[in-house]
Amino acid sequence: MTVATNKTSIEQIKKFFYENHWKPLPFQLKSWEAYLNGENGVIQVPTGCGKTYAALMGPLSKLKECRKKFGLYILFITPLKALSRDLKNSINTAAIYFDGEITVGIRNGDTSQYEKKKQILNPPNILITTPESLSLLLSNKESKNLFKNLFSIIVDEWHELMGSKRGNQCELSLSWLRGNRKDLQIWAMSATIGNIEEAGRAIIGVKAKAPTIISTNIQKEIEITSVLPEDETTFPWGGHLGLRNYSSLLKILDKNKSTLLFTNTRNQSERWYQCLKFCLPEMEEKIALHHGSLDKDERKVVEDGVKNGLIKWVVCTSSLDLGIDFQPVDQIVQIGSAKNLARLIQRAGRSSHRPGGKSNIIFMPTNSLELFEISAMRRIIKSGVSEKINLPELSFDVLLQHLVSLACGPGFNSIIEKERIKDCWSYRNLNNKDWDWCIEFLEYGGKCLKAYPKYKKIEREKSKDDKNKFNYFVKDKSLIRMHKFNIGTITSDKFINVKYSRGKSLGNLEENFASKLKAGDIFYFAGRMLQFVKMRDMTLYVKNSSKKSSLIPAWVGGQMAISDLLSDSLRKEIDICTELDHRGDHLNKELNSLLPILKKQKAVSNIPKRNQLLIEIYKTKDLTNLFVFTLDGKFVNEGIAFLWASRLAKKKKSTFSITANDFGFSLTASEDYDFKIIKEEFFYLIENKNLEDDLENAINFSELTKRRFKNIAQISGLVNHNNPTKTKSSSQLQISSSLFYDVFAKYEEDHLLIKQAHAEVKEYQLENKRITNSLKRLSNLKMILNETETPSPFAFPLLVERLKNTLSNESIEKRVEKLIKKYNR
Amino acid sequence: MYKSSSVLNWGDSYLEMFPTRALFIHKTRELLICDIHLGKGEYFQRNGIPLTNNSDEQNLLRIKNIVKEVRPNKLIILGDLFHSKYSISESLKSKVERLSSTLNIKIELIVGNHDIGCRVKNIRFIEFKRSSNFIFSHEPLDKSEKNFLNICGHYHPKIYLRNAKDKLSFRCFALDEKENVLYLPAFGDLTGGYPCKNSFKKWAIISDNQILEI
Repeated sequence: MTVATNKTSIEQIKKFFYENHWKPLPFQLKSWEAYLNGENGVIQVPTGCGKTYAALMGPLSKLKECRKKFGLYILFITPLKALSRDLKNSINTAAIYFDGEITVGIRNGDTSQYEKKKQILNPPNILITTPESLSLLLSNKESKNLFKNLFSIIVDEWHELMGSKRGNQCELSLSWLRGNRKDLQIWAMSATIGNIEEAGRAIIGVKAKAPTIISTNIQKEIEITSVLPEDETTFPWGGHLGLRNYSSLLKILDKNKSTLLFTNTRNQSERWYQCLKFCLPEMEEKIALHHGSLDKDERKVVEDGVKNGLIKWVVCTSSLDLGIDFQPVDQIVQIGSAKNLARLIQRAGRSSHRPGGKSNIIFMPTNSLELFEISAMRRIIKSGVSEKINLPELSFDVLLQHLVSLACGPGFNSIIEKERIKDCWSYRNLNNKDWDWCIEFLEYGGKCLKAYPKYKKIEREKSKDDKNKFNYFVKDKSLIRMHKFNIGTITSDKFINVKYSRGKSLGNLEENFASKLKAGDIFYFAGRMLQFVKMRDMTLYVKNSSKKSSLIPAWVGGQMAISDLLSDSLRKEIDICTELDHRGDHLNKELNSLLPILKKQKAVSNIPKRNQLLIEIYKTKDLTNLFVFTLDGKFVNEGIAFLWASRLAKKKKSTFSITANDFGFSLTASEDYDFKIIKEEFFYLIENKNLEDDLENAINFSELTKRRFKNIAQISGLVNHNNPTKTKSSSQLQISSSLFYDVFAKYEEDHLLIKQAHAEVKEYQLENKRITNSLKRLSNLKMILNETETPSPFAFPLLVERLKNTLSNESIEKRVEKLIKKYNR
Repeated sequence: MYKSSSVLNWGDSYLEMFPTRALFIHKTRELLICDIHLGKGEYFQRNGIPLTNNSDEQNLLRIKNIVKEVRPNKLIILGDLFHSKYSISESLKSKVERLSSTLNIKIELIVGNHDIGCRVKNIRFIEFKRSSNFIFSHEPLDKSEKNFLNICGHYHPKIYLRNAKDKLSFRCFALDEKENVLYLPAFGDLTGGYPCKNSFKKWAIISDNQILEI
């Protein structure tokens, strides 16, 4: 476009703003200009500042020029289904101004089959979708045709996708779309993060011109109010529910204000919902529950209820996290640690969805140590530093899924596709050998052809344009069906539908939980007491029950650790607390309320200064526990724990169970194990020499790789989610990922997916680089070793943690001997 | 405490449980195994999942070794010899059909749910069977009969051992003393398993040559 037409376009956008009594902000103007100049990039502004219109108006004014009745021109990718309807409304408002005929469609897991078919036949001009649904669209036979008019893609809340494999999935889909249309313009919107250049690269590809970064200096003020315990003795040291202090929270909440209560897990949200309804019977009709496992109709009732003011309080998980505009939300409550600052700021941002407004968040700690975190967060916000979010690299499982998607739809040519994929930021280091392995894996099943006589997933077909070339396709219709059914499983486990016997669907549960239920069992789900009636064809039939039960399903979610930035601040907070003599005058509100606990910690053991490493040994009747407070974020702490276990086991064959949290880690051994050995071996334990080998050892003697492999097997299509329409035969296709792991390990050493699992363990759990840095820091610390009579307050959360890893280099026989000692008792 | 085989007495019979996942009845010299799931690899392959079929070969080899070692009069398979009627390749079929003559032994198959529709020669297919004071079936029978032990497969029993710091799981033989049912461990390598009731008596298979009463 010429400069002159750009100017007219911008004038027109401004006019739309003025007519709505809005004033274009400088960053919005910059975004429109950059778009109309043909640039690509990222818009980085805090939530609720008007970034949707910053990204949208450019494409809209271009759409006006070239639009035909049917045809997809603009694609909008959002991380959450819940965002779509609100997004559609705001797009419509603007679209009507330019051209009353512009059509906007939504396509995600909640869209009906009929609607989806219609969209393929007569595509809407603008389509709002999720990464999973986009991936599914690519597997459509019509995809090339469908996207031929596409000129613009907007990725919303990119920072939310970036940190996970969904980000990879999105990158891969974008790479294909870029290949399909060379002049595609792509923009992402992101919250403020530390590595925004990388975020931009991931969106537009490695080879393109550098991304344009548009940021603003709009600083949203955030006020954090912590709910402090009234009675110090009731303050829990462990646990993750925080229910014991609900009364303190209720005192400061206003019943008439619209309120979102964010919890970290679906299980926790169910429990809080149950508790609030019980304590406030008069609010019964006005409190609702919202999480991603509820049926979409259930969710819609809640969303509508909030909008028209009938529902005042919603207990939710991240399902309501992002920009969905419940106007107005007056109170935001965060229950339990938000783990990173970006998430806390995001959630706080919901309380004032207006540029320049001040946002408020009430923090409800679930255990006392979280108060350190909130104190640390407050200090970081003041300092204005931002966190980095890293994209996982070389995820072969996601790549394999993407390739099969393409082969189900438009097909792909190996040479062309390889180049497209190497253009993705997180696959830029893909080498030819690994690429060939991927193709071989899909075409023949593996290296040893004789072992896979019946296997063919993708098959060659001569290209119509060039007889010397060939493309890959999936030809078997049932394979295509199964693959499509499995997309969208990047994060989730296997699910079972929950339905009333009479038919109404309530949502879904993890199979693992459902399989443990017997007929007649009562459990709490979707805010109701339900009785198990029967299970058939992947559906759990239930009826309402008046009986009570404390059984509440748990969903396996991604585990989170606090960010690096936060763990560094956490150490500072604890250091501040070492001086307790001044009656806490120099402490802020949170730290001050921790005084009784800090005093107890000091009495039982010590509070470590920044130059000290606190280690405690605590013996119970048949176990010895070692607690080490490395204060380095859960995953790094866990990494060091595995390293120490591996090094200690080298000295003396043993079995350790390992637990870690954001504060430190614990190693547990049998009662006769003497942990005082670490006094002499301290320098050996923290040295960087042989780090690689010792970590490797730790991986081999633990189940870490196998556990990682579970998720990989699912994404790459080895382990199938049950297809509800084809239950009989699919039950014959079930095999656990751990069996796959054993078979691959036995018959095919170089299996790339096993290697990936191994790499992921190293990358995320036993991360060499971060452990090296941490060890370096530890080597400058002075060790304080205390044997305690009772577990110290710092140690308590580690002691009660249930999820444990095991590392052992003892013989199976020896381990069985110890295990059955208790079993026979 | 680890043994190379465990013994269970039933009436006047003497049952020997091997860590090779087989049961031998001395009185009648019958050797029992179950849940081999031959063709499972290929069944998965046909459905686009690359699971190797190497294990078929291994499973057949293990059958041969046990028969050679124990020298029974008869081999009885308590169901699920095959994984699916759709995945019996010609080569697998002929290997199975030759088994009886190679081993010089009669083979009977109690038809399991996975065997439905499968047809091979030289193996006798039967619904269920009584022999001495035993009843052989694939799934456990609904009603128990006094003094009769129901020996069956189908469940793939496993035992899970855990304490505060360690956990392990093993295939096992499991005896339900209330209902008089003995469940055999799944023989096939490509099979998973399920935990069984606490009240059952169990013999865990710790390794290929060790079994342990728990």
